[in-house]
Amino acid sequence: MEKAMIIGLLEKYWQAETTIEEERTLAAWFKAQPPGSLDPDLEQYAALFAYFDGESRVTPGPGFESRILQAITPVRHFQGGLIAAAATVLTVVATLILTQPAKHPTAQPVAKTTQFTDTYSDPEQALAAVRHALLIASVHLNEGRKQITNK
Amino acid sequence: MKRILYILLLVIGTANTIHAQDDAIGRFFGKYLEDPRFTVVSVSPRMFRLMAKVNWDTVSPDLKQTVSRLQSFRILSTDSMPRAFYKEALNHIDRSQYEPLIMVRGGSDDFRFMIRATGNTIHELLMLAVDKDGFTLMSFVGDIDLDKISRLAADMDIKGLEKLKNAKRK
Repeated sequence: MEKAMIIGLLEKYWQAETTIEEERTLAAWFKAQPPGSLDPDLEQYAALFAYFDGESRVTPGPGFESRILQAITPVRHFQGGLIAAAATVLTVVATLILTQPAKHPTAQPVAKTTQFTDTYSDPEQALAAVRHALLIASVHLNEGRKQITNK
Repeated sequence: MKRILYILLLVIGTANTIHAQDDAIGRFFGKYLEDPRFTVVSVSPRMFRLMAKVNWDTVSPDLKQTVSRLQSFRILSTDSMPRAFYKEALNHIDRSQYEPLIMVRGGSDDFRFMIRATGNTIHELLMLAVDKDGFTLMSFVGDIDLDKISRLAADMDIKGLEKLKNAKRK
């Protein structure tokens, strides 16, 4: 009688028509049977229900929750962002450092040669000096030209 | 990033060529500017701008035009070892930039004119003169008109010229 009921329940089970209550009854019945006491056609189901029962008791190992949280928090992405930011800062700094020495050695001698220390502070005196020099240059230019035309 | 570096270097290079529009004295004889054996006379671009405020009534039009186109002027002169410094100066001047214009060899009195030009525009007129008493390096930078400079002496009488020629040797 009991066996026939179990077989009926099993048939409903495979059709996915059992209620949760009926499934619990099935599981409890198979668990209650001492090993080796069942008919071979029912024995295979006992192993199956024992497996389900065992699996239902599995609990997470120690540190499981923290490991999951660690796996799902975007720590890696954040680190990648940090690395990218650091790389950008480095390149900017490197560019500044690299361009700086290129600027200095060339800029300094130029600054030296273009630096005019005025001899005169009075524009009128400066003009007189330039005028004098231009006249000397003029005399020499004419002298030189005269020599060229005489040759 | 490389492209930015190239652009930066290009900009720095261009800036340098603009600043390097200085005279031969600055280019080749900078070390003598501090040398006690040399006398330096400089008139800076700033001073040339200030000259615009001077009373130009007594100045001839040729001189006025010549001066107004000048940017800077410098003389470097010495009375110690004139021949040696003259020779050194000739060796120092970069012939790829400065072409000889006039050379006069009068035994004890030599002088040369050299110009730095682009096309028909003369940017610098350089005069080197030497005699037993001294060596003079004179540089005019700006937009140089040689014909106008030549005419300046013609405005003066012979007496004035002789006086001037003697004056430069003092």
